[in-house]
Amino acid sequence: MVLEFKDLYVSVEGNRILKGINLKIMSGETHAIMGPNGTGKSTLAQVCMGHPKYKVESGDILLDGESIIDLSVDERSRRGIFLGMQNPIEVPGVTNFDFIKSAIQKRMRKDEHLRIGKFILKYESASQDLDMGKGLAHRYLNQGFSGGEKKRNEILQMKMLNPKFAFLDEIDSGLDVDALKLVGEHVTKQKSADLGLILITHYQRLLDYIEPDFVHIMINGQIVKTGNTELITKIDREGYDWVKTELGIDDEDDKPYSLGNCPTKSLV
Amino acid sequence: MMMKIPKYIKNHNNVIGFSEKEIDNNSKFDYKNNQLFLYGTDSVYLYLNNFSIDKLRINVKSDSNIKLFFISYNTKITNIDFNINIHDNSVVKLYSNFISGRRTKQNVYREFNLGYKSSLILINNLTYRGEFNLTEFIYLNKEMSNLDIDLLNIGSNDDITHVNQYVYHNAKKTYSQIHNWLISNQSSKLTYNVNGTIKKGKENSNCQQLNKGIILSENGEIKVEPKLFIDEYNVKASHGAAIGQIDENQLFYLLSRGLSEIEAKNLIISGYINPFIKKIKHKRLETQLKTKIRKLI
Repeated sequence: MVLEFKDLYVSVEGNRILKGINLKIMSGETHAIMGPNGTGKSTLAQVCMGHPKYKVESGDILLDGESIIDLSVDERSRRGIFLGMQNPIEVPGVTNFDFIKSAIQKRMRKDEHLRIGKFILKYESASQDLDMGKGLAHRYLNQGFSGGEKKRNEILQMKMLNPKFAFLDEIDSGLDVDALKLVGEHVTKQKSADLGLILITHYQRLLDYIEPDFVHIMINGQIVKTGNTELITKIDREGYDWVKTELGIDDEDDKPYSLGNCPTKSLV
Repeated sequence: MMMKIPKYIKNHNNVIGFSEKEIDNNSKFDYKNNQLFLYGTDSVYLYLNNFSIDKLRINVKSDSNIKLFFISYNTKITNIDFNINIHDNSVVKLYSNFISGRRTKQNVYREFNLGYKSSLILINNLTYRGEFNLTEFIYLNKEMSNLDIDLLNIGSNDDITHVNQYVYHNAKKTYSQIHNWLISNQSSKLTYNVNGTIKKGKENSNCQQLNKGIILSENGEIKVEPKLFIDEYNVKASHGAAIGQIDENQLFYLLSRGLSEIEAKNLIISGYINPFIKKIKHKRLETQLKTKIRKLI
């Protein structure tokens, strides 16, 4: 399968964030998208998932050649897009078990039935692998989870839902060294010829555990440079200024635009 | 027993049925002159079929632990007026369910007086079709008496609910907590006036109010006025109301895992309501409420 962004322009509340993104991800490939804060990395993932706050001004997102920009969020998910979120949302009163069971059932054909016993075993095994502790199934979705637990729960969901293309948006933030290693190893285990991975990160440390095939640098809403793992080392050592100098990018007037932190607690 | 009482109530040991034609006391407890005397450790079911009660007095003797289920079923306008006196060292858990078979009106007025180290746990299920008016006064009269209210109100169609809650801390070291869970669907209007009073000298008391509301439609309305009247420094108190629509971020999160919008909303709402349902601790009533909620939302 192939996921393709074609000359994509996106705005939010009248501010243009993505300014002509062209990117092609094939099944089995791992792409890393790096860049300074506020350059549109998370926007790219959110837009692909169909977040209603973002407006696609022009361009397209194609999944196996078919546009998905008019599809609803849930339809995109069922077609195989997954977004491991930077700030996983807390949903009080909804257990992890009920949530993931509903999500899996929704993916099944009408004539299929979920085998609960098998499902529970798979869930518990995945939960143990990610060191999530006993009783996760009956805990409320992300409520009272530590930052690391939330991120590991995203990976657990990814494992259960078996997507075709997965964005992992700063999945390394909030993780200590051991948790980072655990998450990195589990994501690597999930790599397969059927999964396209897009890792959004600021740092080399995640990419020490998940080796990307391609590294893209995003500045000011555009992918300005693509390379291999050598780029990561250079960014980690020298930051992004050398890229701007090399490519003659002047982003002084382009203040980063942010919608603010995604709230993890609801008012109600 | 002539009165038609639902099976899930009828089969219990202590059931008192009230209807226009008769009052049928099928319990071990005395009921006379509009007074009911409860004692010991027991569950008691009061079932009212289209019955208006005027000044019923329920006395719970000292050192008792009573689970009281108050269920009224109406197809016409009714008025209910009763008070419960809970004597020292007693615990009363009162589950109230006001059911209307058709759109109608019910006015409920209740008073509670709590003695030394006594506890009142109120679980109020308000899923009434039509107009429902509830006024309750709770007097924490003696030291270390305490109150815990959980109230679920789901309005649909053009239902109207007015609730006035008054809690008086009339003694030192008294504790009260009110948690109202409100959902307004379609054109329903829910109005809440929540009051907590700590009088001068009633130190080390604790008065908490929490009101949460979800409005599911454009025409739905929830108004909450949480008020505290505190005349003593050495106390703890808090109040608040958070009312809004379903959280967009929660919705997006569930949608992003493939749930449809309807399923996602249902899951969020059931998640919101579940903690209330778990407090009922009566399987039959819990299932009954879940079924009703599915129909209402």
